[in-house]
Amino acid sequence: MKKFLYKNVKETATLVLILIVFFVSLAVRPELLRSASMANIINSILMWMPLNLTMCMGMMMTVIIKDIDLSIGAEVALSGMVAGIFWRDVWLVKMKDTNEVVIILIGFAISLVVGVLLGALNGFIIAYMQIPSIIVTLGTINAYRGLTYILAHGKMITNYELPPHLADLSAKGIHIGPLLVPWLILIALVIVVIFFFVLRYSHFGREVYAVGSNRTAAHLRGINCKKTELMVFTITGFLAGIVGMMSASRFGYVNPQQTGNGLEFVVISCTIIGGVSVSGGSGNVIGVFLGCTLLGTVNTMISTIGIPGTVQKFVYGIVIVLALLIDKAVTTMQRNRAMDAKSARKEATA
Amino acid sequence: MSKEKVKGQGMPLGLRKLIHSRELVPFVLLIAVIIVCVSLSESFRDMTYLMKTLSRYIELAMATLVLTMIVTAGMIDLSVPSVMCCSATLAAVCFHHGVPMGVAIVIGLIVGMVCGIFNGILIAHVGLPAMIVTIGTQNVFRGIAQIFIGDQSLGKFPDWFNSWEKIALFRFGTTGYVGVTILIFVLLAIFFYLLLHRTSYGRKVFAIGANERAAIYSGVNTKSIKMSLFVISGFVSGFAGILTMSRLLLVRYDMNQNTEVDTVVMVLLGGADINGGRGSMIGTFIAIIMVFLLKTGLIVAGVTADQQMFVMGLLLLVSVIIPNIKTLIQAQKDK
Amino acid sequence: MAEQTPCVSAKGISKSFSGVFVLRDVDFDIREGEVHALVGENGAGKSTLVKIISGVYTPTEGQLYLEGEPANFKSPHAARESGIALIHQEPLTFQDLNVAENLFLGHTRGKGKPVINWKEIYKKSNEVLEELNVRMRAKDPVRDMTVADQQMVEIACALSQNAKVIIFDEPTAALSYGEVQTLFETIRRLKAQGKAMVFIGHRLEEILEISDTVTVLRDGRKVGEALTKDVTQDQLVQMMVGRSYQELVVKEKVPIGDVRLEIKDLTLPGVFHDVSLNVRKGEIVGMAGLVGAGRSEVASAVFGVAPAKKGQIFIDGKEVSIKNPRQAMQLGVAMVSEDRARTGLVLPFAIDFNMSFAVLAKICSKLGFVNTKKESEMVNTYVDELNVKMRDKEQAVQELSGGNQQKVVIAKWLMTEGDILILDEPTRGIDVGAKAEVYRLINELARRGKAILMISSELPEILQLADRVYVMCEGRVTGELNREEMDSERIMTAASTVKKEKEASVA
Repeated sequence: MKKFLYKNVKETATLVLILIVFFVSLAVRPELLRSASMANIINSILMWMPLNLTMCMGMMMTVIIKDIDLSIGAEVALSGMVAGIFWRDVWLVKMKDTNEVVIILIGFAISLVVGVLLGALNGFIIAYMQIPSIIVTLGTINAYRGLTYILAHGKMITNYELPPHLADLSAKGIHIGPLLVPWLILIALVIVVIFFFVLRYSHFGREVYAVGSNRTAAHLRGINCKKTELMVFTITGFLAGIVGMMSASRFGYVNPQQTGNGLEFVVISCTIIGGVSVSGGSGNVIGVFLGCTLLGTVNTMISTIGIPGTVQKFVYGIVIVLALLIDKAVTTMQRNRAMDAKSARKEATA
Repeated sequence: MSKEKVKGQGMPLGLRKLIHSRELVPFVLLIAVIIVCVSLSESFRDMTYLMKTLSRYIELAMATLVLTMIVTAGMIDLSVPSVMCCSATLAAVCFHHGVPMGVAIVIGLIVGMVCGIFNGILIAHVGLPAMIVTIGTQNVFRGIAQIFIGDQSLGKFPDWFNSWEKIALFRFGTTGYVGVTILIFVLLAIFFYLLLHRTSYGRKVFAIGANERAAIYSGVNTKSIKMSLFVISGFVSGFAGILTMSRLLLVRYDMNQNTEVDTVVMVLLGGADINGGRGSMIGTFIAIIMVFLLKTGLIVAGVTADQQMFVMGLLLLVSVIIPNIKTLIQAQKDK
Repeated sequence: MAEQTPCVSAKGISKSFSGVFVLRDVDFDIREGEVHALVGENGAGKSTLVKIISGVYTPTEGQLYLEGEPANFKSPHAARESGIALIHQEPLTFQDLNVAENLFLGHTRGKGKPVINWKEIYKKSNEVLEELNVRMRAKDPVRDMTVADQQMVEIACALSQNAKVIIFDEPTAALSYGEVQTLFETIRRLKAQGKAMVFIGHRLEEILEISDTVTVLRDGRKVGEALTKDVTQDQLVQMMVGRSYQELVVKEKVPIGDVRLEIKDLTLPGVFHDVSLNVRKGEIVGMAGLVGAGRSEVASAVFGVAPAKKGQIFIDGKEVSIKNPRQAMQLGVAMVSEDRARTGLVLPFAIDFNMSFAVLAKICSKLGFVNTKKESEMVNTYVDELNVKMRDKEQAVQELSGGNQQKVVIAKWLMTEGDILILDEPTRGIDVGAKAEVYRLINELARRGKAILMISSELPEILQLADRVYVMCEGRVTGELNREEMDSERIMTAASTVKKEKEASVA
């Protein structure tokens, strides 16, 4: 048990924090215990999670490989925008009679292709031109969002221009008692499960860890580090494409300013809280899932117990800083332990 | 190849030095931008218009000067615009709670420095990566502003505080003038040029950026130098934030939002190396003017501020890719 | 044995970096079931040679043959696939992954499905580990392992790839005696299995113990190859150093004054324990011992880079507290550190920048402005005195040769005019001519009354220059010898004292 805790100290900490947030909120507002409010809370957490959770999977990989992708928010906006323009300018104008499911699928495909291209461009500059990911994606945040503005031409894609049944993905789902589990969260969970297996059981997944852990060693083992890096960013772009659609479904618009705005900060927070070390090579899907749940809970509780929404940005910022501090503390602790073990062994042999 | 690395020493003296200097690229670009702009638009032959527009960018430019030193020391500060916003907001809030404006300004400056100290502790003393820390604190500082004023804007400052940029240093033409903020910027630029390129402090900054361990082994207190950089950055950002508030006549939580990239672009275009060890105050100065002209040109051409993000993003990519191509080719050869 | 075709054979290998030859016309054969030792001083070209064999570098001239067939490795990975594995001095492992993944990642790719068959990998890993007879299991994380264990992981990795040739690049440098013995057992087992091995090492007694054949390199040339049973340690030293050594170093007699630097019971747990020593005015005190004995760490503690936890430091009889290099410098301590590139110089910067970097206060006005005239006067003085060869003062130090770089470092510390000088491997990686100049300089400094503490792994250097020598072994001072008592045998005995005791207790 002690060993388990030591090995999973970050995950355990996150779980404990989730519980603390829950109980503190309940202590402040005991009336929330009623089942109706409880269901409301859980429903709103479930609404909050799918976009962030999906994006977290990409961010997790980039951080494990010792990079970071700040441009995800802009990628989401741009891929959603291109699909939205298709719906507005092609579907509504020329293909009015086509089956709506086909139309939605075409929109999805467009969004995914755009996402993949954007991600691949990031990956290419980072991997093959050897420029720090943080700078490249800082540039592409602006390039991609600027392009979204240019394409949008000052107009956003409104509810009426989206296929009506797109919203069903977030509005409908499986009912469990008073709980509504929307399709979006189910999609997100499927993605999470896929990533769990990819990262744990595929060559590609383990190579991501290897490259992040020790690039030189990975290179000597014949792992194509650049290709792996390119893949990671491309997959992140792919996920951004999915999230572009999720966001259109959930909010009912694609807006060059608001769609995906600030998403990167939330997702980075989730990832770092979820125990993915910024020094690369470590982190797992379960931790990130918990991290995302924690932030979702915090986010919901803030509004439920009546703290004004203006505090949100501050909370995200503080959470990033705290998560960095915890990460540092845990790494230092582990290193000290290793050092102690080493000197103890040395003493023992002497 | 080696020449340009030599100390980042100031003014180019000989022709050879000029050709190899880091400032050459931004300088050539600047001239190109000027030629294109002037030939395309009437407004660029109008100094009155240019000076007026310049004062809109000058506050951010002040903070960019300090950022040049931070990048030269191998770090980065993405929280600059947020610090500007945070200091201005808190100064305004104090004023509206009955504090005299003069005292409120001092409080704003102190807030800026405290923000810098916060960054500095996390980066220099705890040893966290500057990039991610300042992404976090960027939210913290702007978040603080948001907590205090929400979506409101605060204004109605005393008359003496409003529109400092319109205080004319000297006038020309019928309505033309050079504002006092431009003078402050030039003075700051000269000060930071001397600090980075002519003093022992500047040499330590360069050494930390190029090889921190060697600096430690040579008795440099790297932690305190790094800390001081962030404190200076916080102070100047706070000052710039207050000047911005004076120009805008009010403050909102989204003051200077999304301008982090602009600051980084100006520093990198000016010839600084994102990995540290290289940087030039003159280069940054030229890059600031170039970016200002470019943005003004885009506005004149009818490109909105939002759409300009695209150009700034591309510019950032180009400014990091171009110097790297040389290195990549060299690496290929060495194989 | 010699008649069989060698596994790997290098013929007429030369290698130059930017026009400077580090290897010239070297032949080297590796045979099955044989441990071939490669010895030579630092900079003799040992590492370059094995890096060529293992595909890291391509030779400028010459040809590699694999089982008699010409081979050109484009990458280390290609060499690995041909069965040549290099075990690095500092193990290249994935700290965040477990043993099995460290064994199989990368090279199991492309043989079938994208999904890893964990069961099979764990089974295979455990087989390899059992074959090696080590305690670790496939699922153990690598993070908390000792260097020795990580080395075993690398060896296991090589075996799991069916490596035929295993090259050990100074594998024992960071190992304790017990760990070395375990490694040797493993090497013997591998030898019995018919693997071919190359062993690079500095500790000659280890070379004599483990190898079958030994090749000596000096200044990039092969100066001899012999069966190990036919050579003695002295002969090896003779070959490695060449006769020129004694002529290089002439000790000057200078009067020795009072104690300047004294340390008492200095301890940094796990690194060094109860170290006491003193250095007098005008005295050159050597610090001998094996790599990893804790000598550099003691120096770092005195200079304040990594201060000790316990113990006292006295300068001129007064107890002082040194928490960082700044304080050390204020007290007149200067240190020429072991690793020029990482800690001594800012390589991409100019010579004058580097030289004056530690004395910025002296060349600056009260406001902190650099007085370039004063700076260039000071730099000129030292450039002349140390005979630094350069194009001009604004040349980047990375363009200089190792010897000239070292002179820049020394000049930098002489400028501080500190009276206590710590020299950590002052002649590492520099050519013979520059060595002679550095030795002359050290003599000169002693004559001027500096107290000099010189760490060196090259025994002849200490024997020739030092007035007194402290010997360290595994973090403790195990001997102090005067100039009259000094000889290589006594020093080596002290440097492995702890080991001998252990041997006794084991037996």
